[in-house]
Amino acid sequence: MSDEETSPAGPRGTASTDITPPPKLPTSTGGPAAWSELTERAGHLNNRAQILYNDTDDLHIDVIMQEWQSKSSDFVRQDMPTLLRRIADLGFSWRGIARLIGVSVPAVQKWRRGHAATGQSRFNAAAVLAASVLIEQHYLVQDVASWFEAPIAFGCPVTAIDLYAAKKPQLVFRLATGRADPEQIMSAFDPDWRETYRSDFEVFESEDGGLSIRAKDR
Amino acid sequence: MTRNLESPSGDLDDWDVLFLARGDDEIVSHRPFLTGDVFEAVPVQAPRADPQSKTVMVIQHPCAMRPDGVTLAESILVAEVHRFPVLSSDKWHTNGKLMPLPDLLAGVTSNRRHQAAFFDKTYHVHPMDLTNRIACLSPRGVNLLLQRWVYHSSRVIVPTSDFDTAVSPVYEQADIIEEWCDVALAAGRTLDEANSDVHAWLRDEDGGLTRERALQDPQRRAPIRRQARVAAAKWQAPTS
Repeated sequence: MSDEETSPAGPRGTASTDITPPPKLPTSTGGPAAWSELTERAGHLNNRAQILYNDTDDLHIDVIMQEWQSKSSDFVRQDMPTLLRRIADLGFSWRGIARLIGVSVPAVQKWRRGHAATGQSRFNAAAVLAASVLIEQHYLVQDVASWFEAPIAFGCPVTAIDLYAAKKPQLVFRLATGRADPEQIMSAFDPDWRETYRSDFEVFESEDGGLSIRAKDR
Repeated sequence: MTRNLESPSGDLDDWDVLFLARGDDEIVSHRPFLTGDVFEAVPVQAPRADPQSKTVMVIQHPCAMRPDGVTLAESILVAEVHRFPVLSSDKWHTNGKLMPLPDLLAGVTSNRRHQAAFFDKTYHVHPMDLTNRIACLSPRGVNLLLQRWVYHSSRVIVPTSDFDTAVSPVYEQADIIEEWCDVALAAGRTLDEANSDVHAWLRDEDGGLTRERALQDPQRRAPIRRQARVAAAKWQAPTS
């Protein structure tokens, strides 16, 4: 192993060498003025860390968006029925697939039967498959179709399918990282989401086993 | 926020979101009948009137259409469908006595293509008389229909997202039945056989619940769809 590959602090390229540790808090500061300066420095350090975090977060999303484009271009070499079958094999409904591609369900059914699709539609189908594969691969999301159909925030019906269908794939990838605050994702999608999806009703299972709707307890 | 009757797609006049299928090219004949289906040439009879033939929309709740979960009730509640001008999205909070159906007749170029279902012109019909289906609503369309129908019947406005939660398991089931029958019919099963197979499969228990019941949990739907595709594929003729 060469000197370039290792350092006393550990292998190169790890966080241990790239990040300067914060200064240790002294046991005695010498008075109120010194505490004030320390507070200023700690605050400044915190701000820098936040900026760095935001920058790397944006960089990460920029990179995965590029990878997504690349993988979509790779997948688009497959014909439309193959792309649709692979997406369906993940467990998506045909309605969900149509929404993700941005077309009607009958259009998808025609393509399944071998009717020709436009180049853009074929690319859009490849992009859906690429996004699903990347989310499984990079973020260890199991059962990606169920993940796409899961509500983003408690008590709100919006799902990753809604984000993707609204042409906000960055939000989908941010959500998939597991680091993003779901409420921030929702606010980026719809600033009024709390009001939009507020309801005075709730769905419950009635005595016959069917789902019914009733007013919530106040 | 004041809650009004909702429009299909926010501020957009996007009527395609209302429909799953319109016209012979898009309608799948073996899809189970569901709330929001539109039928032509249905014999109806108003009280103290002669029988007539009308275009109608099913407005009965999916559960009430099939009391045992499988067989259609002998009497299905429908509303008359006829011509009605387009309501722009900012006007959907009005006209609570009807369900607008802009662009219902997709092949018609005149303004006749815009129709509506009228809740004050309802009939009960026998399912055997529902033979000529011309449109099926999308889940969004069904949710909007139920919101307007409930409002007309009770003056209560329930958000469509609540209807979606309550009705989506039935819609999921209809999708699975349609897809299963696609495969089975192509492989030579009769429609009765295919329907019998898929209903038996849905009523089988998997993990302590019937699959039919498990569809109520949105997180179990994708695995059930995958299982259904595998199960239905056993009818598929092997490809050489």
